[in-house]
Amino acid sequence: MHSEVIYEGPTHKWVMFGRDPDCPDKIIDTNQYMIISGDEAIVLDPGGVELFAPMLSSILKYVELEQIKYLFASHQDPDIISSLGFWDKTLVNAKLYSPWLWEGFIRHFGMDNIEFVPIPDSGSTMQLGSISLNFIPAHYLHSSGNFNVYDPQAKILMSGDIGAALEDKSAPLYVKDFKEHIPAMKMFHQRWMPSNQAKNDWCKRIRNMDVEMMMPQHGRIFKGEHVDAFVNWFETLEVASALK
Amino acid sequence: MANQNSIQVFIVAANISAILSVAQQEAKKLSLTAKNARAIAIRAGEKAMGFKVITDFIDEFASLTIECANEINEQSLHFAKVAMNSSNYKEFLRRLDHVKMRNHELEQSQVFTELYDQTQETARTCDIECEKLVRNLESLLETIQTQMRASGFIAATSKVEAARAEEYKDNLDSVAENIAVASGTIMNCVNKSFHWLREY
Repeated sequence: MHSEVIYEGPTHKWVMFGRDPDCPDKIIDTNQYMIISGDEAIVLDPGGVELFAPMLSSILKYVELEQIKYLFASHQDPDIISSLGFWDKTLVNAKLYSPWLWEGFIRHFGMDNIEFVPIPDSGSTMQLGSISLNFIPAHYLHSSGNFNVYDPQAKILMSGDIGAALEDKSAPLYVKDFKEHIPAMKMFHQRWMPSNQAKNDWCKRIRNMDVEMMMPQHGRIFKGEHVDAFVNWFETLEVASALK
Repeated sequence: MANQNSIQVFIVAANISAILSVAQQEAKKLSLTAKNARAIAIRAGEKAMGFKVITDFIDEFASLTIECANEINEQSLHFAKVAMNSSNYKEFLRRLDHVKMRNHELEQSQVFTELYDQTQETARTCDIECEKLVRNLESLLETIQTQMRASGFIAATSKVEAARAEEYKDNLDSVAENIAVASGTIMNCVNKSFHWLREY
């Protein structure tokens, strides 16, 4: 599994994991992220059960097991958190931040030891080492209870399925030409996103935030002007295409 | 508890893979050091004849270590996956036991008995494969250990050779120091990995 430090500042760093060459072809490729601050780390959308072994091996290249104090699941999908049963047996005294809406569903993946911390619909913040992270509501994009993670210090938004692209595992990590990237994103957003109202609401919210990097759970990372280009494009896109 | 043991196995495997990636990086540095040393030795000519021969050895050790570390990474990842499968099958067996406890008639069912026996057999096969992978990992770690012991000896010889190299002494001293540090770090990684294997 490929892993790369995406951001490194004086107080913390972001690591991206993905482009797993051993991931079976019929399983959608996913990006996982970890934020490390001091002796604490959080794994964002840790991935499907088939990814657990490569993820754990890759994570341990950056931190000790005891440092992983938190997990975050943006929503309930299997590609986000079906590995939970194994994390539950691996981590000691860890907490899982996830939408309150999904607690009863997510527990089906197996959770006896990890503590579930419900995120209210309006969002919340958490302390990781010396930094604060904000859970930004992104409901119905695509899941009915769904959050993005915003790091105000690094100006990074982990956007979950928003900005996702369906591409080959060999695709580059960053968007280079936004227009060329549109075909890889279009169908995903039209079909998986169920609400134009929710989409417009999210675009308005993101415009009021200072985002330098937007990191989706599938596909490529958006930097600088490409973040704005994405928000502009997404705002004009008609979603919920299966209803037509 | 059998299931708990399997869980520990995949943590062991993940740790070994992570530790050996550090060894891999060090071996790459060692290889670069060898190339650098060879360039100095060529420039120094007669004054560093002994050093040139040494650099070939270092390069060879570094390449072999990189190769072994690559293989260990691959095998430990495979080891983690097999251990996870073993854990899953044992968990499944535990569920089947619960089913049997709730419905005693199932003990007479051929289909159920076959499913149970097959699952038990698969879990056993996973455990045998885990044992085999552990032995392979031990053998690969021993190979690196042998290489690094020799590399430590070479570091000491390099210091002697450096002392004879007159104006190139400082450069070659620093090469000898790099070899000693890299060998020490790799050896440390191997020891840590053995420690994790002993946990298994």
